[in-house]
Amino acid sequence: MSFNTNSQDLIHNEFRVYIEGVQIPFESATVNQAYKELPTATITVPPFPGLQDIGRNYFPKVHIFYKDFNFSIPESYRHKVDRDELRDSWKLLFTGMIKGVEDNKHVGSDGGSQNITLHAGSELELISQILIKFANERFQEGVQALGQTADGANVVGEFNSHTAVIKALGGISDTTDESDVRHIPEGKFEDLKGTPGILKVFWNILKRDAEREVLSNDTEAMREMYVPLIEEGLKLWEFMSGHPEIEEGIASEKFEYKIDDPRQGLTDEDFEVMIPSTFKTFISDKAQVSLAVQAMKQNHAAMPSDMTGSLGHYFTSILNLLEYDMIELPAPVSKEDGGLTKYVVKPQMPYYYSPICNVVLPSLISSVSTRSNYGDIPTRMMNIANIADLLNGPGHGIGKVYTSPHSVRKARSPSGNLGNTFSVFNNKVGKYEWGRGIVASVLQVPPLYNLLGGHLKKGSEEETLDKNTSASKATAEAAWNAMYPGDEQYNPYSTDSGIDAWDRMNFLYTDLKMAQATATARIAQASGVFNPYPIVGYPMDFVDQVASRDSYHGFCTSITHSFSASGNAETSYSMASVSTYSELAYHNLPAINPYLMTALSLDENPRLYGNAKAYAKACKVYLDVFGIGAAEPALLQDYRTGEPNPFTRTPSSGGCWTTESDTTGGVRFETTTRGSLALVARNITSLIELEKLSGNTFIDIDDWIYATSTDVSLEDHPGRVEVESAKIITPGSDAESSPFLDY
Amino acid sequence: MEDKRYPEGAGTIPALNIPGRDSMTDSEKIAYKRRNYLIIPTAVSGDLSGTSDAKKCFVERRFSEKFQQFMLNYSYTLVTSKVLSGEI
Repeated sequence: MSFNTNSQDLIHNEFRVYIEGVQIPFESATVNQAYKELPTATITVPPFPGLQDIGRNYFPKVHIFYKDFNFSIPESYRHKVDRDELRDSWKLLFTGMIKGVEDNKHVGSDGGSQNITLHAGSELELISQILIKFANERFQEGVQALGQTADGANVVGEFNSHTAVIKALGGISDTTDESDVRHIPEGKFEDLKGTPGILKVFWNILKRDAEREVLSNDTEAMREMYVPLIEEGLKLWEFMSGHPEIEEGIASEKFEYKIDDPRQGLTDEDFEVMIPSTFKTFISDKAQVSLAVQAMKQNHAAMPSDMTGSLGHYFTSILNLLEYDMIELPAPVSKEDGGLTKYVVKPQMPYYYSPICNVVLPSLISSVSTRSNYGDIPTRMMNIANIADLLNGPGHGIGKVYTSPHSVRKARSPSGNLGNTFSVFNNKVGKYEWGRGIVASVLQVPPLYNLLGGHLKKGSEEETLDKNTSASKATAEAAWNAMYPGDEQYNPYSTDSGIDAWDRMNFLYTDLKMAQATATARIAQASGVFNPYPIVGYPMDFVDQVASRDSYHGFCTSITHSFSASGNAETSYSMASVSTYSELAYHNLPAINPYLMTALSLDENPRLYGNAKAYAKACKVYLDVFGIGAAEPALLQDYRTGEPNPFTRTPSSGGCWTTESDTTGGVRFETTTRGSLALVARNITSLIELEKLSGNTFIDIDDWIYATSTDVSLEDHPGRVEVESAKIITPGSDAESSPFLDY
Repeated sequence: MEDKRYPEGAGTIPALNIPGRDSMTDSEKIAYKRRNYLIIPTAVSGDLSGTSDAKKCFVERRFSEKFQQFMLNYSYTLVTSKVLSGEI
């Protein structure tokens, strides 16, 4: 039993481990997840003959459940509820497959120990087994070049073609008709619209290539193994969701893209494509589409050979290009319709509100530490458009240097405008650099933006690409002017600042990188009582209730749950890009791309403190997917005094917090551990729900614990070897087989 | 160095004899049962997966019944008091 010393209540946790659906005794376990990695678990169990071989040639499924206090039923009351009600209190903490086993024994003069440690990984790792060649061969692209079409009578594989990229950018359609390459599972349109749909259409194209068995390619591996594994076994698309509130603006606005390429059998053919968020900028629609398509094509063409490249490679690479993540939730979201959300496709947003499940309240923290490396923070970011300028002087290249922050830009052109700040040989000192010297960080314009430069006319003509009428751009321009009154000629959103559309994009990119470099200089860790609710890859808060200490807001990079069978349990957290609440209130941190600024209602006011409009939007973003709202620092803390504000969560406020006054029974968040957990809780899939969704039955120890010796049967051990007078008489089996499977 | 303390060499190689079941003591017979058979509580036999087919277990993510029997035997042996001394 663990005893929580910084709060008033005792917490006793309960956990269950199941292998292939059978509950087993265990000693201890950990569940770990790091950002950009899939969840893993280690489970330490008592040794037993044969246990060290269980992962050979078959990865047994493992499930770990915890008991949710808010659903628990007292022992004395158990006889009054049915088995399903009892089992609904067991919530999923991890699901995966055993991929490695350690057998440890130690004998010493003062005793010894022996145990077996099972190492489990995510089932999603299986996606990396799917080589593109299982459905398609890259050499078919050459065949395609001879004039055969992907959709015509002489069918060739389509996955590697540029057409596939265009179709994927078209996104999904609300249809289950499998003859339509945009098809989705029934009822999944809202969840998969926008960016997640790009992955789904790529999958549909690969699947269709496999079904066609083009050029006599034998695609059994894809048709019979991986298509049913992904769609029916893992239910990848059924359990996937984006953030509809963010994706709506991407999915609802499609643009015409014309392909006129006889080599692909396409003549003046019209497609409709979406512009992913990272390409949605303040330039013309045509330029945005061109940029998105070219970048996606380049990315597709740069994939490894079909002999070695897997679908996992493709998905990772596409998501990186689009500045998105796919997060696997080891503790999935239980949806109201009985389904679950386990895979979330979302933009990379280190600077945003935390979902309330990611707020680590004071009663949940036993230790916290942060480290600020101020020396690592640059005073200026120099984004060089062409390195030749730097090496050889002006005139030897077409590039410019884009500087950030605003204070340095202003110093470089004290009586001019932004258009006068481009020279790399301008060594003026920024206003705030007088306080600590100049620490310059140099980067280059990303290839993506150079791509735009190469494909579109540059210079003065480019201004015609500007979406000057864009409402969001006007809002952003006004918000910038409000931050820096009197400096309008330096406003990168303005057409009066002497820059063109190409420059604008680069200034915004440089500001983004400057903000990232500023924030990444601080990291933080905390640990405390077991808390199953937080999600890696989303913003997080470590809250302190003491007015003399600050609270921290950052981006959750890892979560580890460690627990033993006796109920001792701990959760530890790591954050990067950490700011204090004071900094959130004090500094301007413009740090997300222009589309997200608008979609998340941060365009008028980019601060994450006391921002009612952006907070309301954030609640919608998280309610859609996690069923809970967002955490606004101003709700947690009275900035004037640093004292915690009382707030609560009621049936009428649902998954959102609501401010309470002390006189009306408001609860201060430090009160109890159990109360804190109830404030940050989200609904997690239960054992009963998982049984219904998977069709598998879990067998509890409770189901047979009272069996007597006559209530058992003897079955042959699958690995049994018969020995008779110095001879093994059981026929040998192949080393690549598993004794637990029938082939 | 003529002093070789350990015997070495052999005139004839001893025959390999593996004792058969008939020569087991009672406790060896119990150990034999433990090692070669699985104890399955009959109360849960209806909840077993019903298949150990490789494709069903890998592709459709069904539980393998043979695996379940092995794990049930493991659980039963550890959780009940019917554990032979020194067995685990």
